Amino acid sequence: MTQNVVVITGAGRGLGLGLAHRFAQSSQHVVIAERDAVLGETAVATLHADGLAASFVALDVRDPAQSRALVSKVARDLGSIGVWINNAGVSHLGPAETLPQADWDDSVATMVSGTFYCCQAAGQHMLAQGRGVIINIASVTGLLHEHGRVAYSTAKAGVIALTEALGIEWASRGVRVVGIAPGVIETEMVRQTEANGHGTRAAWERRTPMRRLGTIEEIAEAALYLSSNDASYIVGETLRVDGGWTAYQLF
Amino acid sequence: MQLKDQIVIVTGAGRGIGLAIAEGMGREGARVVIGELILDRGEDAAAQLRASGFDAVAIQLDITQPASCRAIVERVRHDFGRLDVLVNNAGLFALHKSEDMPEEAWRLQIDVMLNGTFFMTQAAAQIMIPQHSGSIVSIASIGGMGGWPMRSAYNAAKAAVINLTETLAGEWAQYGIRVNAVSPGVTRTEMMADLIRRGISADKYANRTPIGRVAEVEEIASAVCFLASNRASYITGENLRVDGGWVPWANMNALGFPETE
Repeated sequence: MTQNVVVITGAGRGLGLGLAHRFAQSSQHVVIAERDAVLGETAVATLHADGLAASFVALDVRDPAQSRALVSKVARDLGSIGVWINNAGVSHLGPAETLPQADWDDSVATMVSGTFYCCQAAGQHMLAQGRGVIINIASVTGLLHEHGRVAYSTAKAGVIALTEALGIEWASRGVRVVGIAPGVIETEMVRQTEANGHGTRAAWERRTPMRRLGTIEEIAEAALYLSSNDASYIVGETLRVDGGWTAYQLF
Repeated sequence: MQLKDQIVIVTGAGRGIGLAIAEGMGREGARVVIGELILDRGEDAAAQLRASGFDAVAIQLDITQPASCRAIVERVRHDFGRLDVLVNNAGLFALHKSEDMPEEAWRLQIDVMLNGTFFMTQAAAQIMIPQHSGSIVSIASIGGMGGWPMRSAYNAAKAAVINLTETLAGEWAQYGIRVNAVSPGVTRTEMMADLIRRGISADKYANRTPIGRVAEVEEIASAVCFLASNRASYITGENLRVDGGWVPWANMNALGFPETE
């Protein structure tokens, strides 16, 4: 079994599921690594219904033992891991001065530590085989800050730094670590953000030079490119896919 | 084929990264117009592309003359009726201790890489805006992202191109035009061969790069073709670093100054 498997965390829905779809469509077996078993199994069923190859493995990224166990299981049952996408994230928003400790800790535990633990587990596997690509999903929020997002934005900024640090460390050993910083994308998370009063679609569209939100497919296309051999010299870089959000910075 | 039948201008595409970009565009099905100062070089490159089965022509272009930039766009409008992609690749490179840099050397580098990029882009916009579509990719450099002794003019011009990319992206998104940049690290080209002839070892650059080697021109070209294509439909104002990890590395074993005499 030498099939190249793609593991995607938080792939039970939203951007993660969209990534899974795109990679499975390009003839790769996708492992849906998801904390919520119902979401995970449903996602796999959706992909199977489209004739795509996928399987579900439970994973809470906050526990390093689980990512290590997942890597062992996938390597044993399915084959070598060629691509690992760290997409799992949580959105705890609210004023910084009253943000509950649990919200801060969960944000750091999931997106900073969780991403690191997964990179470490995947990295050990990929370094041993001398090849592999890790893609970390960051966010424009980690680059340009808004009120009420301190935990999310700091964690995402941490993900960008992690991508650089691991990128330079593993580049000469066949493992490329790269990132994507999506702008505001049509997802359930964004719909929830609006429903919870933390922004409006109209405001996000107005702020984006392209005057629209991005689609999951547009993020997935960038991920597919970065994972490919065409991107063989791209290391430690986080690619912004944001409709001009961050470029339109100063006015 | 990501760029089937699209009309593409690549400036300075007679050799090096520009030629690789032209080839990459041809492979994606584009009809390539090579803008070159030295027309012979441009025509050799176009012939090479045609021999590979790609669609290519060469037109003489002096990027330091806004009228020449306008003229190549008008030729394209006349011959093809549209312009889909512009790649601002024309550039030149010179090492000077800043205290000794001749005025002409400073002015020429700024003129070719900053002014040339702006006026060529402005000329392309005259077609792209009424068309309400277009994709522009400028070749910047890791040099535009930090200080690098003896490259003051080159780096300043490249840093300006990165900033210009962001400004134009914000201005022209409303016209359906995407504007991006690619920042290559050290790449195996004639420019680099020139530095090696002046005594600097190729290993020095490879060792300064986390990935342990310099880039091949195809690796830069693929990033340009990706950004130019519809696969990058939500990407604008971005400067994609294609550098093997060079920029974020603290690099305790610095290249050393001066780089070469």
